[in-house]
Amino acid sequence: MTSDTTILSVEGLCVSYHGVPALQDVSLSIERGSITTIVGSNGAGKTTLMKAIAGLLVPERGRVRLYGEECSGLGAAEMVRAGVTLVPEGRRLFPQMSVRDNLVAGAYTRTNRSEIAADFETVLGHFPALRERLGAPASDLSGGQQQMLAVGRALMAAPRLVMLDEPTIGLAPTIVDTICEIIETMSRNGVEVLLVEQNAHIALQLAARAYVMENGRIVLSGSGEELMDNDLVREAYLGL
Amino acid sequence: MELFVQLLANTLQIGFVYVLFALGLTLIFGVMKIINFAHGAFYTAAALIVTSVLPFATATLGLPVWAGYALAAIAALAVVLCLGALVYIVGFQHVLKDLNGSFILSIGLLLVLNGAYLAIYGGAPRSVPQIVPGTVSIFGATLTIQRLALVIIAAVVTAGLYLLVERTRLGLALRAVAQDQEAAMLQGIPYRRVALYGFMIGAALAACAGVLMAPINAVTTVSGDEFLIKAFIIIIIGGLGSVAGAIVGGLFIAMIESVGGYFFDPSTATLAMFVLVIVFLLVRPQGILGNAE
Repeated sequence: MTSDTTILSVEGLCVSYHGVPALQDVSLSIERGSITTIVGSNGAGKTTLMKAIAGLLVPERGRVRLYGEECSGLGAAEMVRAGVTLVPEGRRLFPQMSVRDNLVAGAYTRTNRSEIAADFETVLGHFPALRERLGAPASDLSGGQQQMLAVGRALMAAPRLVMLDEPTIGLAPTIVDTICEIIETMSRNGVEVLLVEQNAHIALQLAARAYVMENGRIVLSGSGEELMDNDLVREAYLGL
Repeated sequence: MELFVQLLANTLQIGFVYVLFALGLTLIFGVMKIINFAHGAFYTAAALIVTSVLPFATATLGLPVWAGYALAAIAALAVVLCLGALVYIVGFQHVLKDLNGSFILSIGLLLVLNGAYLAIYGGAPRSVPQIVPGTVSIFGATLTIQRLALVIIAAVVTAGLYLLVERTRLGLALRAVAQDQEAAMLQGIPYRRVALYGFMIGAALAACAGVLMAPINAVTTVSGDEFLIKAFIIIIIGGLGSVAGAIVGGLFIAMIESVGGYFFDPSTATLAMFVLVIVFLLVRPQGILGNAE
């Protein structure tokens, strides 16, 4: 299953909350140069899976490999250093910190000032709306701007893999388009993307590879197009 | 004018000591989400060490008073930092974000440390000789140079801490952890190490306050504890977890104490403080500069 083009692989991952299983024997792989998505309803275990990969949760069994190297058991901070960042559900910005400080915090693990400054400009190039609000506290931004800041903050870590948990939830359609564009741009620039979305339309259109989760298990996988034609997916997640 | 300057000097002198004490308490709350009821023990330890190292340095080593005081200050800071690291490693790191656990731990620690101080130093108040002699006259008010020096040093330490929190990488990490610990970890900020640094900085601030106050007030084995209640009042009024709030609150409480104490009497000023806390908790529980959650 693991090949040279595999960026991240998850093998037989099990996670429980207080004895209640949240993930059961989950396996998936993220291949180079493609957007991978996980669709599923609320409580299917998508967020748990991402937190386990990010090092926020300790799995009971199973392993996570990054570029073939085992990284299960690493803490969240080490995972960021290894190149994996998570844009969590609900954005989780630092509300009283300025937009600038939020972005700088994203580069916490890096030390090369000129590279950080260059990435700062790149992020502001992606999201020009943030440039005018650099001194404002993050809590003053609109919902769309906050999501842009959350994605920008993740990019400041110069990640190899970005995981996005529900990045378009609650946003106006035009903002959703902007977020989708930036996800595609990231992918083109060589950053791997793992996208969790309740909006299966968006997710399946963007993704080269897709997984469907139900009750803590992966029940279906395939290319985005294949799953869009799958009857179960059409009925349960696309409402067709 | 003379009265005004005198009251202002009193306010600043006592106020900056409160600020140093409250800043440590609020910083520790910010990063660890616990309240350290043993915070006064750091102050007491530093003040007691000054009362024993200073006479030793001047009498036995033959140093001039100012050099003996500097040596005592360094010794006090070093001992308090070691004590802080010890209680963090043995105790506090196991009760991060645990209000009940940290309450029990810090109250117990306070009893143990107070008992230890009493066993080592005895119950009699201890004092040290004047460090900087002389007085100056400002607008007709006579102030001792020693008190002026205290205000200046405490203000510089406060400004230094403010710059540390607002301008440095460690400060960014401290703020990030205080605002959203999990999100901070997702930026690669090592939460536990940052919590340790926050705790050590808090202990060092209490030690600074103890070192500065030792030549001004007589030192007992419970000297630091009386600051704890005032520090709580300060951070309730200023806003729990807010650095600027601790500074504003500390100076404000000191002003009530010195102005109220002069025009009425000290017990009225104390009463006013508690009334103020009740009003704040009812009307603006997040404090002047705190953030409503």
